[in-house]
Amino acid sequence: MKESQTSVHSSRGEISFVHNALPELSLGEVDTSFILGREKVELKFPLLVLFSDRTEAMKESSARRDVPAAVVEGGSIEVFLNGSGKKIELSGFKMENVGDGIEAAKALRIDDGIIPFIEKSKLENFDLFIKQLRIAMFLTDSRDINALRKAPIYTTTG
Amino acid sequence: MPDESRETQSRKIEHIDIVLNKETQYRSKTTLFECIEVLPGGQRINGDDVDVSTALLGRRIAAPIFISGMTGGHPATYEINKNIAIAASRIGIPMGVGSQRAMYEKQDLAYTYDVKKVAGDLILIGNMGATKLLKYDNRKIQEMLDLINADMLALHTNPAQESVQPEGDIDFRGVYSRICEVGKGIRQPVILKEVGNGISKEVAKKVDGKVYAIDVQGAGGTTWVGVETYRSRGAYGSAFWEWGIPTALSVLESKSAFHGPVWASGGIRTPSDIVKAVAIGADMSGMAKPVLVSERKNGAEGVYRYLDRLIADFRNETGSLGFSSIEELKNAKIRISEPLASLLEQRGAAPKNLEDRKLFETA
Repeated sequence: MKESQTSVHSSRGEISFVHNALPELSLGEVDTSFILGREKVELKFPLLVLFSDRTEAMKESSARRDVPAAVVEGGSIEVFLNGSGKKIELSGFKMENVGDGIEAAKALRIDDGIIPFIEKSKLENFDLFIKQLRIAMFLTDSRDINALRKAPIYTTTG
Repeated sequence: MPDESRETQSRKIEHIDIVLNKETQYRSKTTLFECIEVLPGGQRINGDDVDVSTALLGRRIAAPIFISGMTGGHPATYEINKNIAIAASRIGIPMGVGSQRAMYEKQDLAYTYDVKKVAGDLILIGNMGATKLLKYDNRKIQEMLDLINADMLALHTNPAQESVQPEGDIDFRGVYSRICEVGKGIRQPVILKEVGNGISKEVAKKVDGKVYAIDVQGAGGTTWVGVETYRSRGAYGSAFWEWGIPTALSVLESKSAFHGPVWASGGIRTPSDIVKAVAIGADMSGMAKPVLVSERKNGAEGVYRYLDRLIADFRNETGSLGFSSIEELKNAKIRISEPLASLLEQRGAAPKNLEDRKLFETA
């Protein structure tokens, strides 16, 4: 799959979360679960890992449970969880290539129709990015993705 | 089982070492004080004729400046606190000590914070971590403050630092309630302070009426996420290096929602920063790293010379703008440029007293 087949947005560097110095939760209770697409596929983590090869994606998702491995084919995306694939219409949402967990949080914050993704070459960073996403949620007092979508932000131009 | 006290003590030394020897400043984020221009209020006044003294806890202090709490809790830190206390007392400004956690774990270490023995008239600010309030009851907190004769208590809240610290406290459930209880339950006035990531208007509103003051300690100076990133060799911290609310924005956000004193710290480095902080409503301005550097170079005398020069320059700069007192400077007209002007607009955080003075001059 070529990157141009997905609806990739530009960097979110101009957006900043407003730091919350007094969160009322623990980092451990931050819930990153996410419902993807009209098909309502439940993901534990809102970060897809994009593969170009279906077999490879299936194999990876079997080896690493909870890692949503995905393959884009035409107008749909197949997401593999624990070795099993589910097809989802791409028209229901946009995908955004992110450079770290904070960018993933920003993408989720600014548009509830976006699902962040990383290329398979960054698979080794998946756990790190999820940890960063969780910290970003903790530091904005966001218990779950819905709360993250309401977290205060500010934007700067340029 | 690890010896918690030994770990805490060792961390204190590590922190000092990293702050002095590594690059721990924000890399691209600034305090945004550069977006504030204080407009002259009249003819230039000679610095010698400017009175920058102000009141704190019913006492007169030399300037609206305090030394932020840095250390304590390891035998080697006593000298640092002692030297700073001698200089602060001689100049006539308050100073804070670092987190008193070490003396909770090992009371023998109380002497490393107990600087009033050498500077009896000093206004001393004790310091405890907000998450530690879940462990300490008010009686214990009072005892720890009384042991060092503290006049105020700074409760530091540092979720960003804790998040990237290998042994960090990442459970903030119940912390806000305890802050409210401590704010009412001990004799000393309580200051809620951040440690370099700033206080938002939402948090300021939440603690309004619950604590005496807010010390915003915003972004733009030393980043404790950065310090912890060195300690943990970069595991998560590097992504959060720039996380935080710039100090000037944080002061204005806090002023818009909190009715008590708001103190500015985090990247305050120059007399000009202090002039601007006063003009946007900060009641006090705090510094740490420049004081620590002076102390390590030349002890108490080094700190004294640094503070004496700083206050003289602050007086001269205030006079050059035509103001003869802190009260006059507080009412100065200011101009705010981008990006701070837009940020304040987005956040709805422009305080009323500034709106009347044609706050914005947007590009």
